[in-house]
Amino acid sequence: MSLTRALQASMVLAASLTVAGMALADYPEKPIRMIIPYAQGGATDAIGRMVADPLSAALGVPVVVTNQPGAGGAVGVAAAMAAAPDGYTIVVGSDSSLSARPLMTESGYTIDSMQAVARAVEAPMTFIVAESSPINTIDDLLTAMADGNMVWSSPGVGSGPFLGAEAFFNEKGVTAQHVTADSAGEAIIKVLSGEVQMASVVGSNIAGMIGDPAQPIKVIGVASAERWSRLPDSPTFAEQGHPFDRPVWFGFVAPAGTPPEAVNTLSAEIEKILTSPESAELLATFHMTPAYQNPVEFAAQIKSEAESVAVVLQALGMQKE
Amino acid sequence: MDVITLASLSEGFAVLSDPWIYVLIVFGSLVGLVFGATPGLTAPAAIALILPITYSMGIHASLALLLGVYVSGYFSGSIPAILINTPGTPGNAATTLEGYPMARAGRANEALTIAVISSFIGVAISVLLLLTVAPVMARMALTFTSVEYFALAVVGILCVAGISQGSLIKGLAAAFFGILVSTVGIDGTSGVPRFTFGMPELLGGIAIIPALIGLFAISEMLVQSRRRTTAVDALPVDSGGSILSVIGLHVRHRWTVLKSGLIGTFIGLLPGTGPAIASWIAYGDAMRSKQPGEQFGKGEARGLIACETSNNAVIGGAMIPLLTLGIPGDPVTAILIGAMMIQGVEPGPFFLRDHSGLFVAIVLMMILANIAMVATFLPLRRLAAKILKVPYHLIVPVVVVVAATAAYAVSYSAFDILLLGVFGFIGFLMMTNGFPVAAVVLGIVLGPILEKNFRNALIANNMDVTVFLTRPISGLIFFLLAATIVFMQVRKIRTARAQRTLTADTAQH
Repeated sequence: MSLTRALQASMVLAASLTVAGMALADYPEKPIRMIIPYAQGGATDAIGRMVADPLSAALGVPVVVTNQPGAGGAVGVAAAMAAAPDGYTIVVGSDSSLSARPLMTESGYTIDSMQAVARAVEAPMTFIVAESSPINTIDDLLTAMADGNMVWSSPGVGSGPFLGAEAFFNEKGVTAQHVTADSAGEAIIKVLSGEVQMASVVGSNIAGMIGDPAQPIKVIGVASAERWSRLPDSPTFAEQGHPFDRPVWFGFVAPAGTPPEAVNTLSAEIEKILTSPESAELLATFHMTPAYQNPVEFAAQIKSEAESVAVVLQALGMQKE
Repeated sequence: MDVITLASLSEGFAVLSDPWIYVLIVFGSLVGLVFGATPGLTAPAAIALILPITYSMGIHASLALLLGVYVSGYFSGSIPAILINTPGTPGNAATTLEGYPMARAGRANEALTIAVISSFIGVAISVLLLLTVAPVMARMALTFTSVEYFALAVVGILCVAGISQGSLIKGLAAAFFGILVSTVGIDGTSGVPRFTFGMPELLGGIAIIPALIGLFAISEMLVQSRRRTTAVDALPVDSGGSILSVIGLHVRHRWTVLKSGLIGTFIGLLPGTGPAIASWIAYGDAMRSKQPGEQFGKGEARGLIACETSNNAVIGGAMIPLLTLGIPGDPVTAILIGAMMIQGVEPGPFFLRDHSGLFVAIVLMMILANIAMVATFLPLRRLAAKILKVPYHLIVPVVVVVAATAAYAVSYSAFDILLLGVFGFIGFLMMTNGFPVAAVVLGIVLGPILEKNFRNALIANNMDVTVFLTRPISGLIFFLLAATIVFMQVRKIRTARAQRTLTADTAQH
């Protein structure tokens, strides 16, 4: 490198550091981009937007929502991780897209590429069967699974309810045949048409259906430590002697290297938004429960989830080479 | 199960109290009119290009606009078919056979009026069938497993080949190329990425909207820009052919109207087929029942009625599998799936139950769009010829820019613009070599349905292939498919043999 080149480079570096320093002084000073890696209209989209508007009001800059769906959220997370870590890009991630996906495929990011900001909401994994099914409890299910030929479904290989169910099967030493669905709705149809005996879905997907004669399904187990507030009449796995706690959650992350001041500002505002009455009302319509975690707790959650899912992926042969 | 309750009726009608709905339907009609009438721009292209502006509209407004374009876009391809002997869309190819001779004989106005009235009746018949068949179908769909979905998708893929009037092989090749494209991304059954070449943008698969805009719009613009632009001489639109006399004509030919409407609806119902096939079949059927004195090919109004009724009847038919099974019935409904998903509405067996009010609203908006089509076209028909005079050096750049914006707006991804370009070029190569691009689009949409359900069906049934024949509905579908293929082959061999004997005979004499 010639001297002028080195000089130029160091000047650019110095200039950019100055800019970065200035940016931190009064963060935020320009619009923040929030990537929602799911299609418009779904529950995740609504939750992202629920946070975006009040966040914009609190910080005094626009929070611009862009939807980049694909691969169960991995496409949008990858796009966010490729952005500059300046505090102006955040993305909605889930247990599946943040903890599991990087272990399964070359997704363009790993858990080290992300800076946890705030976990937002959760709902427990729930096992459902048709109302007419002879299976009523987790014990019945395990008996039915003994020969390894039981057919079940979930909203997609690699989704939270898929990985959660596989983790449970793995723990109990049983196997089953998985028929994939593109959405929770499709998995429920498969239960109703009798194509599968059981489906593992997020509790929020079915909480509104229980007791509706047009949707003859029943819950055989909710994977939460306590009874879940949205399904108070449905027994947990633990009550049936099979303690298994498996929340499916959504939260916000930013690219690794995002300044801590920005992370803390965002996290604090998101916490306030999640506890507001407006959010409570909206979350109730989606049957989700607020589940804030600060950046440190959330990072630990992502990491521990990745460690536990790694075991399952290894057992299934789904870990990337 | 009473799907359509009083509550859903009132919910559906309540949608119509929003004046915006009417504005959007009329605007959609005008867009459809211009796109359909411009040779090379089709209804699917119009819908794909206008789709991005519906993202933030909400489901009702979005569908009002799209259905407006859909209904009038299928009709207006008949304008250039009649006036310059060039079908505006493939669905109006049969229209040229009777429409253009009528216009040459100084009956252009009459031909255009017949076309719009026939289209109106076609939509009306099919909407009526949609209203009655969809609830039954939705109930049946709840018993459908992967086996039945696979059988339906096979029907779709085989019908796709029919899109190509020319070569069956080219049609199938195009459809299979579409299926191949659909395998890009994370495989739903195993969770393993395929053909992603390490690009995270491809993990979610080839984004369908950019691919589709490229195939429909960019490719056509490339074809047009290679063409030397010459002013087209459109035949003058005279007076004559009053609306009343045209309605009288339809009453006289009511059986042709009804039959063509039913043919169109049925063809629309089959996944993968579209207006092009419907109009040829209805036209062929009208010709077979030729009355003495009728002169087909020389401006026979009954032939025109058959084509135009059937190609618009496809619309209501195609909505049936879309709304009840989540399987598109024609290229436009393949795009409507995306439009509805973006609004958080999932078409499929639960649609009618969860969104019965929306179903009523859709039916009502289709009726309104139908009325808007007639109401906007009739006063403007003298101006129709003007649309044909817009020079391509203005159309091409405008469409390309709009197409790029539309592709980008789906997920704010520059990668999608790249996809648009790649698929535009692929489409261009296909078009210049006689491969139907619509077949690629249906391949992309039907591919995952085909593959996922095939694999799911086998997994759920212990890898037993016979399940496709032993489950009654699927067994029946495959039996009918096999019978149709055998019948067509036998007829082909017979025709070939007859021709050989004929040539042999002539050679002897």
